[in-house]
Amino acid sequence: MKKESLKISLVGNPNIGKSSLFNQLTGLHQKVGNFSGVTIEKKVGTFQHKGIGYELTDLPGSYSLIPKSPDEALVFRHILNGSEIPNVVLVLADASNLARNLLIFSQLADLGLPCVLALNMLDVAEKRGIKINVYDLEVRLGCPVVPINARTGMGIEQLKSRLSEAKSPDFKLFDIRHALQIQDEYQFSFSEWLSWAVNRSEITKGDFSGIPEWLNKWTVDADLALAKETVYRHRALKILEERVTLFEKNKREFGYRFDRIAMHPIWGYGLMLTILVLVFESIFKLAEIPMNLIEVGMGYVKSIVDQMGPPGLVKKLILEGVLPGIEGVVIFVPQIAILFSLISLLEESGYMARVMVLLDSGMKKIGLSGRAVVPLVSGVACAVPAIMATRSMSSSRERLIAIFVTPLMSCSARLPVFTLLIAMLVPGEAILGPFSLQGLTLFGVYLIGLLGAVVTALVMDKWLMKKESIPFVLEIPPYQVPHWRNIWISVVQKSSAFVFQAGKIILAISIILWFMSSFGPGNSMDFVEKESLEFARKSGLTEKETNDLISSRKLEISYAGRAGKWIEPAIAPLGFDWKIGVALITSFAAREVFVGTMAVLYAAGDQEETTLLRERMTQAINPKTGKSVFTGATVASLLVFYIFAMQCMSTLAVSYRETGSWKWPLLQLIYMTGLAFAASFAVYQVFG
Amino acid sequence: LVPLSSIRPKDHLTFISCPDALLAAKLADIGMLPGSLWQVLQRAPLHGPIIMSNGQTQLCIRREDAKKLLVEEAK
Repeated sequence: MKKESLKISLVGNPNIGKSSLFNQLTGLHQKVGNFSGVTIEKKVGTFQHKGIGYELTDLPGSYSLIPKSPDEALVFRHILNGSEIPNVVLVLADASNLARNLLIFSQLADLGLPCVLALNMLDVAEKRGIKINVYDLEVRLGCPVVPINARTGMGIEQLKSRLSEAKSPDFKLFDIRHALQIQDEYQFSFSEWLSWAVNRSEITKGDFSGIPEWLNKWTVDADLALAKETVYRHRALKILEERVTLFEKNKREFGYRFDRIAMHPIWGYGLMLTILVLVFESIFKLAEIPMNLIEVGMGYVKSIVDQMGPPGLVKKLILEGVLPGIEGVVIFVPQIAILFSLISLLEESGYMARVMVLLDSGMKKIGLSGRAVVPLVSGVACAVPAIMATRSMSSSRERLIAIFVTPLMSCSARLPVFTLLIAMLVPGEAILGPFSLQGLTLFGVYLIGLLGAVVTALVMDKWLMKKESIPFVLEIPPYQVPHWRNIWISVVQKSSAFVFQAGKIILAISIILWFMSSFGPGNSMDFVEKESLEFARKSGLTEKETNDLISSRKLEISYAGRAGKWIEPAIAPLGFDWKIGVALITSFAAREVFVGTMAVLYAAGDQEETTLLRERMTQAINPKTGKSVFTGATVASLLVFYIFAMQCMSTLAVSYRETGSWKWPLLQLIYMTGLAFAASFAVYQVFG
Repeated sequence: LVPLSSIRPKDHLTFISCPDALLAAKLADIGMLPGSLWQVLQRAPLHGPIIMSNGQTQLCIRREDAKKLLVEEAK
């Protein structure tokens, strides 16, 4: 039997290297889930040290135990409520800003919880002329204090070995029972106070229903008392800091000068735009090489499978259902990996915070704060993690807007669809300045998605829900050299989340699609085959032409063909035929399935390759009109459809999980599909 | 006493008080205490947030919130 492991909670201010420390301690032994009952990401990791098992929970970054946002409420609840009480609280503090970082520590100390203090960024502190006497600090606090470097891993082993020495700190600022008597008129206890404060954050609705009525009428004064308590703590901690710290002359840190460019009214936005364009270019160009390798590799695997065993239904299933499905999942990993490495690079370096400041004045006009930039930018990779990233937002109103509009940002799953369609629309050789015209078109497509998101957010902000104001106070972290290990772990996590979450659906749909396109009702398939053979004999077709005819007739008569034909009247005004209809139906689960479906529909059992598919699609003739199916207008209409349409079951599932009801995902589905229809209709009618 | 929003970049100030209690509590958390000395570094473009520093912490506050903060100009 497995021994019970020691439960450790990791707390600390935001942006001081908490996730770096978490990664240093646990490596890839991490599980990402949700805190029970709430929609905030819970990262739990495990590690062993000297025969003892440790279970480390990473709590959202916060300045104080007294919550002012859903995230902070969670910290309090995790530490004080219910069954999950940790054995040890590991507090991470930024040595270059010790007093402020010890605020949450002092609150934990007053509650009598066993603590270990990890002191990070001593190197940064030293550069700023701040020297801390760690030993003195440990004596004064009365619990282990371990200097570490979360980036390089220095001190991590020592930290691990001292976790077992955790004890309730001797350093106490308040007697809990009298904690709030600094405001004499309020006689309630510290824990009652905390419960009340938690109750105010919407995320814990219902959990603290037993809060006495009399607390509510003092809302404003309670806030004031709260601020006073915090100020008192800060003053006391400042004195402590001065006693254990040697301040040399105030040195100016790196980054101050860089901000003159990065935050400049003109250069700042120029730099930001350049970085964003570079991000797009690199997912478009850099990912091409590994993606081609995957295509070639899968072709090789298919040829090996093809030579094994006798032909039959199972082999057909593997060759035409399973393998293309797996390829359809794996093909995205390069794009996702590149994009998330770039996003985590921006986050780690501290530049993302500057982006938030630069964009705040624009964002607040659409009911969002600069905080929404991270989810929206992540939405460019995948709406699923992006919607999860809205968890860092402190207002539920803002969160709902962000969740609602994030799927309008063009995610990487749309990329293969866009790539295919843009390649059909724009010649590959065309160049405008240093950029290819295809790349620029892609950029334009992303901008249209962004515009859709902005307009939608604006409408929601004007018409939706009552106004509320949560003050926007953001700390701007100093610039830092990103650490490759954190980027690597982020890339692995995001890629595997995609492969195992969206991947399952893609694979399943691929198999269902194979079934739908290989079988029809009754013996219609056999009948069509005989009919086609007879027609071929009469018309004197070659063997290849005969086979093509059989495949295409079979597909038309299959379940998939019937479904596509059934919806054809509805999508004809958008310029779509029944084959596109089939792809729309199958790609409702995940957009990228569109490409796979088209491959099966047009190659009908042939090798899956986008250049071949593109050729066949371009050559496709509508038998009714005798004209090309994929005219410029149809391709443009289809492109626009995929910019706006929801077409992603995973996103809907995540929305459901995050908002806690089907109301929002259903509204999203109806709204986005409606928008896509309207926009495609307009495009086709104007250009068709 | 003047609102923070009226302080020009590069100028120093002493934070005195904030009548908005929730904002005051948030500021206190992040280390902006009554009596503390700050320097406005920059006002972000397009009427964006005000960025300031006390030598240890660099933080930004929206301009409409900054109007609520009463400060004293310091040398």
